[in-house]
Amino acid sequence: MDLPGPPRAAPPPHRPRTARATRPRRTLRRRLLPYLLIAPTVLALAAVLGYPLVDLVVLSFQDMTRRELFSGAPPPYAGLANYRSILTDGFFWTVVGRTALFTVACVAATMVLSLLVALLMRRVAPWVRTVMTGVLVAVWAMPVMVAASIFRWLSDADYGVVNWLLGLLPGLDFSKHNWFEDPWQGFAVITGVVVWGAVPFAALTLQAALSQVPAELEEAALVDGARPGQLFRHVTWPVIKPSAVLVTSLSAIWDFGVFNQIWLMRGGQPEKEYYLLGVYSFIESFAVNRYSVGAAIAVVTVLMLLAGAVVYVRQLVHLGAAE
Amino acid sequence: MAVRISRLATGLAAMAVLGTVAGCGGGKPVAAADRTGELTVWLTVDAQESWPDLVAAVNARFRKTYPKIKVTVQYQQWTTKNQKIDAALAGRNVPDVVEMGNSETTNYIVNGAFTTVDPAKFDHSAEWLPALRDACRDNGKTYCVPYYVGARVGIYRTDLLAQVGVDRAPRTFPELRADLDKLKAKFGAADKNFSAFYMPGRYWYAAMAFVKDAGGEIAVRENGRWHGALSSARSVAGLTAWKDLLDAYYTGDRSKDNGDEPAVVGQGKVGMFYGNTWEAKAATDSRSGGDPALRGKFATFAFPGPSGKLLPPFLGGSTLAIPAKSGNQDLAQDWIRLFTDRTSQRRLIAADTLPNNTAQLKEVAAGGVNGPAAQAAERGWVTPLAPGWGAVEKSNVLQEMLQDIATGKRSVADATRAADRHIDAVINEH
Repeated sequence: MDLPGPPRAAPPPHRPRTARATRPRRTLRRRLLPYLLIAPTVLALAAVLGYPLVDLVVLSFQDMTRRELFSGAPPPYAGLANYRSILTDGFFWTVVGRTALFTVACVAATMVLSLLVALLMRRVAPWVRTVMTGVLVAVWAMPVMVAASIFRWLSDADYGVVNWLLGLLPGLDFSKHNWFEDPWQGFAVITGVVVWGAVPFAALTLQAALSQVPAELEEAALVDGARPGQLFRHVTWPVIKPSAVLVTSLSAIWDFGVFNQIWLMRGGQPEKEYYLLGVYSFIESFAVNRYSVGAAIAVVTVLMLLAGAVVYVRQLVHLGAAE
Repeated sequence: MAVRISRLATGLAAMAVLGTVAGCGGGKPVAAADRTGELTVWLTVDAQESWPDLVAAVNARFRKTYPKIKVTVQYQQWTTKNQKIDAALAGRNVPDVVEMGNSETTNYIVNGAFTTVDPAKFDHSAEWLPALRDACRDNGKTYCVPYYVGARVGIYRTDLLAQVGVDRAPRTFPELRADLDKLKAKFGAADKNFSAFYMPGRYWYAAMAFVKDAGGEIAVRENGRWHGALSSARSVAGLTAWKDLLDAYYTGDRSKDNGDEPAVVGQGKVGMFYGNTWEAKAATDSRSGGDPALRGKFATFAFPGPSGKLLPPFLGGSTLAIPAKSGNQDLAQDWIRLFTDRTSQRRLIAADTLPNNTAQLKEVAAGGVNGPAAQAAERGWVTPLAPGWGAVEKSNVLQEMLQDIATGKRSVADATRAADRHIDAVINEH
């Protein structure tokens, strides 16, 4: 992912050359240097991302079955058949819609919560801020595997803590309530895990951005009689907006591709109501062994993400132009 | 009886001697003792956990014939095994022997993953259990070797049943329900979490046993094509009987499967359950979440079905196959021959497992923990031997259908019709 780098440094001042003969060689070297420096990154990306991606696209135009997999024979070409079969399947569009809705819900919850946490961190005493940072980093460091298992246990129908706690409230009986029977409730729990895991990164990034807001600017606004809401909208927000846009688009990309949380929370056997694009592609490929259909779903997913990324890059360019 | 056993023992001894002799006379261009190389065997963790000594003994016997061949046994988890096998088979460096569940083999066989084996070279091959033998066959050829099988039985708490005045396992379905009624009346009244009968909603091996008991089928083959048969009248009758048991005696979460059955039973709030014989032991083992205080309080029985006969158990078993890409196919075959011969099978019986052949099924002690399983195994069934069966299993069609039925989300008729549609969509695919 492209991170907005620091503003480009001004070109070094031109030094007078003493030996004219060395000049072309030096310029050549200077011109090559950036490419040499970026080369390892480009090569690594081409090897671990480019090659599989090309293979995936090729696979999505073939009809690969286990017979070809086991014998090593080249699979026959299928043209657009795989794409036609998924794009005309109502279930595929249900999954697309569900994935989009899930992404919007997760990103919105993540951003609101982490902005609140970041704003809170500015107000509290330094030692509290240190504790909060420590807690956030600990949450961030928690493997998805562990987090998902814990949330699954918390929401267990027979022995879960959530049901027990809710049952303590007067008038509520949540004993044996199954959170995953109704997919809306189930997705609420899954959104909980995803947001819980995403808040630390977003909150810490926004907190760093907030520390860039000049204190005197805010004071001046307050002196001028700005209300807290206006202060945030007109002074604080413009400063942290680039970071917020960045975190939002990163979260959207991550949440669009959520797989582990669903897989783990549904015990490796997700019901069809719990399919998101990632899960659907995996099941088609490795459970039903329609490798090519799975690949086509993955390619469509990548294209949708690319569309999102274009929006994000355009926004960055706009921001850059405005500055 | 004594005479029969001694005759059998003599016969076995003679066969063992012959087997050793046959093992020594190779007749290969390179003498067996001089062959070098490596043999890689992929077994599942069952062997590592329950009969590691058998693996060691077979490797030692193998070494006598091929002292210079290095045998490496790697243990795989059931959940990830096939993905690893697929990845390995797609490459060049393949294992020489792989363990395959009997519901997994067909798809691999029709896609040419395994080489053929000659049944005549294996012990008791004429009496191989049909549940395993049929899973290894395609077009009259044999592609894998039966290894072992397991059958589910009824398991009950002897102490709880004694407290309601019952001193023996139920023998008929009405007797079973009467016992469960008594358990429910005594313990269920005091504790709403007590299940007289533990039957989680996604436990498809159990539910399908009721389908089979009612004369139904999961899928049938007509004119060369498979299609789902769960919405047939008989299948629906079986599932309705299953649902009745749940409604009457089960209080737990209906969207669970039986994955943590021993741990739940170990909590002490279950009177009876339907499971593998080892689960009774696991329920008293703190390592699997059980309670050691319950030791000695479980007994097994052949589970009576609503039809009046024994409930036909799913015969879940394992086979051993040789990948077509293996470069050591003859060595692999020799290793499998030793690992599945009658001496090895006897060791499996001692580890409370059922053998791969009907002849040795009779050696399972009727009074032992596995006696009821051996008894029920004669009525055992297997999953449809269709190319796309693995896809049906892994896309959780049956589990979802059962969950919908168990939770009341859909009627038996609606849920089974939907499941049949899902089955039809993938069961014929290679």
